Amino acid sequence: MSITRRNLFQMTGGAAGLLTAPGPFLAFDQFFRPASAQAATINVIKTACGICSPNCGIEATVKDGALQLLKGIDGDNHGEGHLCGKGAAGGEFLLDSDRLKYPMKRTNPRKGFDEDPGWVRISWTEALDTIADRFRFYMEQNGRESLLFCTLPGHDFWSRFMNALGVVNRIDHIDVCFLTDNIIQRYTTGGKQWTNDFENSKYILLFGWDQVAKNKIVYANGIVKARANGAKVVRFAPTYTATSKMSTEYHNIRPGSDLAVALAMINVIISENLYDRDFVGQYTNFGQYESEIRTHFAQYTPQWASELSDVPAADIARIAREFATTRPAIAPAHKKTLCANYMNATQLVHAISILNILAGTIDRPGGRYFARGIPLAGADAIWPPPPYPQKLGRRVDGRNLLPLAEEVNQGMFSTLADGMLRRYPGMIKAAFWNNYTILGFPFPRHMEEAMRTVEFSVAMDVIPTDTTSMADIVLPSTTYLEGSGIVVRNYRATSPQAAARQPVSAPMFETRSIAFVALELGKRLTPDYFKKPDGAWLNPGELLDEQARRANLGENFAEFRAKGRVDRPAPFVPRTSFPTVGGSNKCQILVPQFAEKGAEPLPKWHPKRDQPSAEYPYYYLTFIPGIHKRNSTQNNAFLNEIMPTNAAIINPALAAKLGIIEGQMVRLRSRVGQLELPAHLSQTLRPDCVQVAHGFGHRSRLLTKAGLKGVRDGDLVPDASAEDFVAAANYGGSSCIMDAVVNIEPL
Amino acid sequence: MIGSMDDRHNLARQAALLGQAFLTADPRRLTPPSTESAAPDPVFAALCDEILLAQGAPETAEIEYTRLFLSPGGAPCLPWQSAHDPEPRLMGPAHHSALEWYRRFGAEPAVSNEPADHIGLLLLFFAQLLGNEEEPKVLQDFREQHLDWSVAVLDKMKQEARHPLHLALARATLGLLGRLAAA
Repeated sequence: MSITRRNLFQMTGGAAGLLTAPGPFLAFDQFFRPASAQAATINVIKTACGICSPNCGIEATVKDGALQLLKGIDGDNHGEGHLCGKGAAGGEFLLDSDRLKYPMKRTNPRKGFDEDPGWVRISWTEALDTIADRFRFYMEQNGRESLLFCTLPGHDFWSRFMNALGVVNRIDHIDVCFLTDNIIQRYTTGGKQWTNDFENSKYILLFGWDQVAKNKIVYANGIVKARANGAKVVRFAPTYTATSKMSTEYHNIRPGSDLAVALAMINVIISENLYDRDFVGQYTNFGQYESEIRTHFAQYTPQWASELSDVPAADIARIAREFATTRPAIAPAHKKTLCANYMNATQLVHAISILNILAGTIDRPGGRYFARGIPLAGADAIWPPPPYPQKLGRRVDGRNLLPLAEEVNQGMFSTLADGMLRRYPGMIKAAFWNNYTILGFPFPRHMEEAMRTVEFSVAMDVIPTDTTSMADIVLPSTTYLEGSGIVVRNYRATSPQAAARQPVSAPMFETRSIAFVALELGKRLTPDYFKKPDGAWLNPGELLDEQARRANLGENFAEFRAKGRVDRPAPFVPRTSFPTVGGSNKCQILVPQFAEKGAEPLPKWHPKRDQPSAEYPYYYLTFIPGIHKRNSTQNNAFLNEIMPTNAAIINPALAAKLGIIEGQMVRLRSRVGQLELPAHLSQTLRPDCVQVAHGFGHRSRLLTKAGLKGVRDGDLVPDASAEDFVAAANYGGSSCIMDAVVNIEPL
Repeated sequence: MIGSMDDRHNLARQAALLGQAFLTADPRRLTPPSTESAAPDPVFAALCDEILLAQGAPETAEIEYTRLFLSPGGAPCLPWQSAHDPEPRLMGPAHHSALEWYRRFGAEPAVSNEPADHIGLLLLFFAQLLGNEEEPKVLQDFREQHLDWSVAVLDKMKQEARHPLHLALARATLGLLGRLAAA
C-alpha cells in the first residue's frame, strides 16, 4: 500500500482494533485532527514593523503559519522599500525558542537571579483571577498608591483599565528617551518632536544626534537626500559614527559641553542679528523679551564655549553664522538619548529649540514640522467611560517635585528605585511590569533591590527578561507580528499615511496581547468601564472597526486591511499659530511659564553632573548599537550573532598610555560600581573617554542567547532622586543615563 | 526489522504513552497501560510506575515539566526538533517536514499555533504508523528524519531531570529508540 493513500483518521478503528484501544492511543485524537490541507500553504502578508516608532512597512512570506522572510514595501513612507537589520530579523522574535509560551506562576517564594523560581504552567483564567484578587487586596488594604504599573500607556483598553483603577504610579521609560524634548516643545513651539524635514533642508546641525548610526531608516534616508541636494551637515559628538560619516563637518566635542556651544551659537546669531527676522518678529515672543534675551546670551561667547568644548571659537562662530543664514536649517533634538544623556540636557534641548526658532523653520519646509497625521478616535471617544476615579496617593518616584514632567505624565525610570527604597520604602506592594526589564534603568542594581521589596509582581513579556525572573506571575505576550492594529505614520508630515498591521502568524502558544489582559482584568476589577451601552463587553476588534470607519480608512478594519495602506497627501500649509502652553500662540524663546514653575526661563549653562577627577579621570559614554534596540533584541538569534556582547571601547592613544592591548580585560570603576570586560581599541572616540554599549549583561539565565553575556552599562551610572533633579535645575527630567566618569585599570 | 505483530503493537502503545507524556505536564492526565497489558519491559514498566506515583503529588512533576521543556528556566531540553537544528529556531525545516508527513497520512496537529515538530507529537504520530502496520521503510524514514535527533536531548534529560518521572521518561524513550534502531 502506498503511504500516500493512508489516512490515519480513516484507519482509526482498523488495524486489529489497536487504534480504538483504551489508554494512550486515544491521545492521538486529542493532539491531531484531520488535515485541512493537502500541501503547504504560502501566503504573502503586508503589515507594519513594530520594533521602533516609524513602523516601516513589511511584507511577510509565511509558509504554513511559519514566517519565512520579511522585506520592505515599496512606496512605504518610512522604510521606502527597506528594512533595517532589526526589522529584517523580526522573525527571530516570533520564533525564538526562549519565548514565554504559557502563563506561569512561581512556586519558590525566594526571589533572585540565582534562584530557580519553580515555575509551573497555569491557565490564563487562574493567572488573571490571581492578579485581580491580589490587586484588589492591596488596593483595599493599602490604597491605590500601593500598585505600581511599569508600562507605557499602550493599547486604549490598557490605559482605560489603569484609569479605571485609579492607578497613581504608572512609570515609563520616557525620561530616558524624549521626555525633556516633549516638555520643551510644548512650551517653546507647541509642536511634537519627530518630524524633521531633512530632505528639504540646506543646513543640518546635529548635537550628538545619531539616528543614522541607529539605523532609523526614515531619518537616514532624509540625511542622504539632503546631502544629495547639497545640504551641509555638521555634527558635534565625542564619537565618530555612521552619522558622523554622513556629515560634511564633524567636531570631536567634549562630553556634556554641547550646551556651551549651543548657547554661544545663540549669542552669535542674536548679537549679529542673523536670525530670520520675519519669522522671529511675527511668530515668537522675542520682541516682548528682547532685552532680557540679548543680555542673557551675551555672556556665552564662542571663546568661553571653546574652552569648555574643545571646539575652536572661530568654528563655533562660523557654524552659527552658517546655520542662521543658510536657509532652511534644522537642528533636531529627538531622538533619542540626547535629551537624556546628562543632567544639563534640559537646557541643551531648550537651546536647540531656540536655534530652530531663530532659523525660522518651525513648521516650515526644511525644518521641524508639526506632525500632520490621520487622527484616530480613541476608545474613550467611541465608548465614553463613566467618570474615572481621582488618582489619590503618593507618587513613588517623586515626580510631583518636577511639575513640568508631571504635566505630560511621562517617566520616571531615573528616580523609581530611589522612591521605592528611600522615599517611600514598602509603599509599593504589587507591581505589573509590561515589557520592561531592569536593564533599562539607570543603575539597575538599585532597581533589583527595589523589586525585592515588592510582595507580588506580574511580568508580561515576550522573552524571559531579568524582570520576569523576579515575578510571581508571568504572562506571555504576543509580538507585533501576531496582532492587528492601525499604524499612523507621521514622520513625514506632508504625506501622512495609515497602514494596517495584521498578524503574519496566529499568536504562538498561549501568548496574548495587553488589550486582552486589560479587558480580562477590567471585567474582574472595573467591569463598568468595559461595557458598552447595551451591556455587552468591549472588544478590541470592534474598536479597530470603529477607528477605521471614523477615520474614513474603510467601512471597517477588514476593508482597511484589504487596502493595506491609505495615503493622505495634502499641500503643505505652514502654521501661523503655534499652540504653546500659555496661550500666546507664539513660539517662546524666553518661557515665562518656566519661571512661574521655579524653572529657568532661558537656558543657562550648567555643567554635566559628573566631571573627571584625579580618581575618575575619564568620561564614560554609553550607546545603543545600530544592530540592537535598547535592551530588547540581544536574544534575537540573528542580531545576537552579529553583536553578542559588549566591550570597553578605548582610543588607542589612551590604551597605549595605560598599557592596554586589544582584547585585554580591563576594570572600569565609577563612584557607584565597577565592571570588568575586554577592551576594544578604536579611534572612533576621544582619548579622554571610554564607551560601553547598552543592552548587554542580562542577568536572566533564562535567555539562552543573551543571558550572562557582557556587562550592564548602567552599573556605572549613578541614578538620582527627584531632589537631585530639582537641585540641578533639571526640570525637564533628563535622566542622565550617560552622566558618569570612571577610572580604567588593565587586568 | 520489527518482529511480531504483538511486538509492533506493544511498541506502538509505548510510543503513544511516551508521546502523551511529553505533551502533558499533569501526570494525572496520563493513563499507563494496566499491569496485565504492559509489556515485560522493565524500563517502560518503571515509567508506568513513576506516572502512577507522580499522580499522588502532581505539582512537583508539573514544575519539573515546565523547567525541562517550556522555559523560563533555561529549558534545558527543548522538545521541538527545529530548536536543535543547525540554525535553531521554532518552526524551522523540521516543522515543515513533520507537517508534510502528517498530511500524507491525512492528519495535522490539533493546535496550529505551535510547532509541529514537538517530540510528543512525533512519537504519537510514529505510534500510529506502527499501529497501522506501515511498511518498515516508512517507519525507518520517519525515525531517521524525526526521532533520532532526540537522542542527544534525551541523554541531556537523563542528566538534568530532578523528578523520577522525567528520568524514567527519558530512559524509556531512549530504550524505545534503541530498540527501533536495532530492529
